[in-house]
Amino acid sequence: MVRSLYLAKASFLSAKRYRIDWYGAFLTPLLTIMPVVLLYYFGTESGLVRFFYGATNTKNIIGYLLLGAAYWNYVEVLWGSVFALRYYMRIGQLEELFIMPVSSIGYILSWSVFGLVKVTVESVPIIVLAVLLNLMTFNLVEFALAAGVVILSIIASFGLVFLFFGITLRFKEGDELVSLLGNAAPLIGGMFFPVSVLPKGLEYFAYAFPFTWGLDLSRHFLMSTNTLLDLEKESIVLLALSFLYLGLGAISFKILQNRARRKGFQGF
Amino acid sequence: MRKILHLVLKEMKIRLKYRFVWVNMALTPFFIIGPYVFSSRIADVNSLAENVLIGALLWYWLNQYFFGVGDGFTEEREEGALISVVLAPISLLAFLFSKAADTFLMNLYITFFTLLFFYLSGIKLEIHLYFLLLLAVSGVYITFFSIFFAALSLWKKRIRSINSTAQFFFGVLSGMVNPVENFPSYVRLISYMIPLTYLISIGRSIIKNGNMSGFVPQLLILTGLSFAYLILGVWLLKKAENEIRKKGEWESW
Repeated sequence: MVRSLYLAKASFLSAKRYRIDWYGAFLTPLLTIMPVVLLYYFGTESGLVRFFYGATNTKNIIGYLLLGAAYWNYVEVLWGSVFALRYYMRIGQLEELFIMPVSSIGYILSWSVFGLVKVTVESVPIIVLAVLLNLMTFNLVEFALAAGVVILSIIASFGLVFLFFGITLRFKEGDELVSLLGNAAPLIGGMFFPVSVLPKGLEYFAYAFPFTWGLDLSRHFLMSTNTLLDLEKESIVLLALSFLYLGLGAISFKILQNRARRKGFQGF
Repeated sequence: MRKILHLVLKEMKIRLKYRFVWVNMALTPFFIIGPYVFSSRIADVNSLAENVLIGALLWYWLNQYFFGVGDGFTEEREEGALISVVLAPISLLAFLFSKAADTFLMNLYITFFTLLFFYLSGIKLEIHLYFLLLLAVSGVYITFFSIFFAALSLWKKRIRSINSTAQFFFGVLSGMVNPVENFPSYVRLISYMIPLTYLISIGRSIIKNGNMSGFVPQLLILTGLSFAYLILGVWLLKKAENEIRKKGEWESW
């Protein structure tokens, strides 16, 4: 644990050296939502506002998008552990990494803690923007509830990290799957609009995703938007899915890591 | 030319070994541009989703060229193979053109699946032969633009960190989701310096009118601008190459 935290600290200190990396990270979440903001801004006669008010109980589309971007920042950053693993595979340092006195879980923890610290710094512009524009009106209790939902979502996200870390160790190409999921998740999870807009097949897929429920609940607590189910049922679904993902992820990681060790780590 | 073809073949053979890459390439573009296309469909204006799809698709082509060509030296640099590229009997420019040809083939693959998935989602784009021609032309012109970025990235290594951010800037400013005429004049000045702006505008005209009339001036400006970026890129590439040779920095990153 202590070693992992030291590694996280080392990663953070290295990251601090390259300021240009931070500029990109500050801007990317805002630029991702910008096209939708422009659609909204230049499309005053469009049905976007009407739709949002009907489906979500809010006309505050910018707040809706900002909150979605901030939420996804936290959920997705953990998946960066898989890219870090792949990076070490590519530059031929994986074997060295695994003979260090740090376990695989230790590395996941280290890279995740680093990611969470980094994303907190990177999310400052989004949060400041939301507060400056007075986009969200919430009290401390609601904020605490929303924070609890984000923590549950992070637990679920760890489940996926374990699964993909194991896949990467065993089949090498886990980063491709993470990249696919990372790109698909904002659309499927409702970052840009309620999942009811999605084609039916994707909509059903969205409900199996804990983050759809997590984002929906966070928005409800911070923006009083409508929820997919009633509050109690939706909280139970999120709780159950989060721990199910974590459990399945941990088991698959154990199996895949053992198989990978038997087969050998070399190559990429 | 044969050397370039050999390199393209090599890239393709390597990629064939990685099956997940093909799955990712087929699905990811749909998910990345999906939010913009579906948001426009919510707006209830039929032609808007089509317009956004054309803009977003061309923007995605630019993305791939910026990763494939613009970021063309990064992987080799990280793996310590850049020195081998420099020692090989092929110029850096030819090396980048081989990356461009490889990206073009991948973009065709991506486009097929992206249009298929949108078709299955109820967003049907009527594809004209001219639009396919435009995609081929955009491949050439965006390659020129990407070579400029690759040269910048060779010269100043950390530039690659803002590759994704730059792509989003280019997308937004090129009118990916709305015509650039909506922007204030000072923003439009920047828009008109990006080749993608003209490609998107021409693409929308083709889909709207079904022919290539009325945009010859745009095509001429696009050609001039793209060649200007190529010339600037080649000059910068040479400058960076000479500087790195003098400092002996081929293996540092």
